[in-house]
Amino acid sequence: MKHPAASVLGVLVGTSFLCSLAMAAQPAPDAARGKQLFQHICTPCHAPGSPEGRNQFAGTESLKNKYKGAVPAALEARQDLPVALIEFVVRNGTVTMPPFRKTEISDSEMHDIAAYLSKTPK
Amino acid sequence: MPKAPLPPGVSAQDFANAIREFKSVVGPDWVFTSEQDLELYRDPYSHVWGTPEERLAAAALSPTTVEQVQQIVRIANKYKTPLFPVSAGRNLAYGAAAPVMSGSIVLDLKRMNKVLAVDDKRHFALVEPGVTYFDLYRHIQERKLKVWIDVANPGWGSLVGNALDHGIGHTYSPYRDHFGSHCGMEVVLPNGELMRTGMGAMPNADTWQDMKYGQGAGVEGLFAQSGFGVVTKMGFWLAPEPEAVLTARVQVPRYGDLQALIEEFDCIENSGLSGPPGFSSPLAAPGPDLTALMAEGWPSLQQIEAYHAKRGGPAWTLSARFYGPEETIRGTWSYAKRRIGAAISGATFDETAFYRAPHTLESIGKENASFFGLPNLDTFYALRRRPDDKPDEQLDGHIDFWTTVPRTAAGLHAGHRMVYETQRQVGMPVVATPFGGPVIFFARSFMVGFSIVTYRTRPDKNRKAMEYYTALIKNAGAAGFGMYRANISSQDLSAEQYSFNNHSLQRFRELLKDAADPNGIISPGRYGLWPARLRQTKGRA
Repeated sequence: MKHPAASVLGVLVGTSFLCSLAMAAQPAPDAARGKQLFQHICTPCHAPGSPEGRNQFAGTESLKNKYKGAVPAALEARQDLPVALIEFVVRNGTVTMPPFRKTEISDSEMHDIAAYLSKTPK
Repeated sequence: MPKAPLPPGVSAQDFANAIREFKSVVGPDWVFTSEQDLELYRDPYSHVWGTPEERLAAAALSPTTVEQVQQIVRIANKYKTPLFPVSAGRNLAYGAAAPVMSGSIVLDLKRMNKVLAVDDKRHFALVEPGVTYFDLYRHIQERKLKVWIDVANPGWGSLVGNALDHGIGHTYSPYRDHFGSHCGMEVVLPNGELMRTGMGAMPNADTWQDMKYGQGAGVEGLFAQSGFGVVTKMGFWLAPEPEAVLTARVQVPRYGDLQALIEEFDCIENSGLSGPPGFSSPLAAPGPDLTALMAEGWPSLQQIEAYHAKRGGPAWTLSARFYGPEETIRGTWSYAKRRIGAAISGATFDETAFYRAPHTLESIGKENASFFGLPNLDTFYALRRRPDDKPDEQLDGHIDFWTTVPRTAAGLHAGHRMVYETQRQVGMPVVATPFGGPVIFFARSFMVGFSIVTYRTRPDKNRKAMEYYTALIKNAGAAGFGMYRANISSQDLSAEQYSFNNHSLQRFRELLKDAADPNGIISPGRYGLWPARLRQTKGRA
């Protein structure tokens, strides 16, 4: 059986186009609000951490072990995150990260978070 | 996703009518019936993922007000559509936001997320079910209030949901028993009527979060791990922010010193002088000598002592933490050293750290944030992806087995021996030893247990996990070691273990359930409590 996340990249090209169409009637995503939401909801697992202080951030450590330095482990430092991938992971989870329900992160909030992570000033 | 069945005994037409009426209450955007939306109400950590045993919601809906909850409950009565309330829906390892009975409609209370009051003079909070530990912590910090939360792990859980599932925390015992530290609740009863407990039953009383009992028979316990209503508000006692935290370590030289160490520290904790102790043994460290010791069966005391003599070093380590003013906790630590030193010859003592308030993630370094009232998600670190993980063997979650044993050395060893025998019985790797420690959740007992990992892509491993979990529950029950919580897949089995006098406790609950919820609409099957119309079939077709 294929893991649900295993086929993500294969469908992203198609879904990102469809998402763009679907979102055409929606208000433009607010990256500034997305930053606040990211810090509120996501940083307890995806903070950068530091070797001297707290560094037990499950998401950051998992991504470090997955990519082995090919990309930054901290999501906010990434330059390669497409909106569709971010939104897929929010709604589907990946390995031990569970999916988030719409009552936890609404579609609008998810679009804002994706806008922030995909456009983070580098 | 497997298709969810309709609620048992409900026609497609009645279900459609109920959904239509629910939409008129909360708005169409907050009633979820599509396959895509209901995917979010599956248990992502389920060990029965994708099997007929998986519990699937028929729909979900999310109110924002008490009045909406009342209307929803009345509609549910009209069509006999069962509701399964969840708060934050983050009860991972026990079912998350999935119901016990397939075909239930999940009543998702996450959007009822108001912190209604925090009083740092009377030391309480009043919150709605969607408020998480993170939410309450931020509310307190933004207002610079001088109260501490005893946080659950992980911190995205709901205070109400955690307390109602008998969840626990990590500081002084009156606070870390989260149901025990509640004071006053508001409940929508199965007929839609609103009720308040304790002093909340008295109009104009200003003591709802100060005095638990009010007058008369208490009923609060009926709303935990059960199906007697929808809790819409709950008060919690909070601790004054402690000025300091002192952490310390005690080590004792002999294997047989454990009982005295437990007894001496019990006197300290049960006097209200410390947080929960931790007990561990350096002798539990893996190695060929330990493997050899365990190869021939559970070792005798003589074999254990011979093994210890070969390894050397202390037999047991106690880790302690004390909360309060510096002069008080230094005095308590001094008292602990005197008391334990007099009882156990050769005991050694070390103060390991001292922290002054304010306690923040920055100030505590790599300490466990939960010990300092700081909500966090650090618990997931243990489940992180490892550098050498193979893609098809990446675990996806876990289910938890925690069973109550006596707070004695003999009770602890018996608990680990039960696990050891179960591991051999079902062919799991045998890792339980006589050097296993307890976890201390509640004040007067030990817990023995662990997590069993699950995989969405490995049904073979999940089947083994289910076999293991089932055997553990049965063997623990036979030994008198009951589960304090159970995964939604196994709540009937876990409840069956509490069988004194032909299950008189559960039969009494059923008597009450049938009177209070004649249509059986609130949480059918939760912790083995089924309404009369579903009792025989347990909600299965």
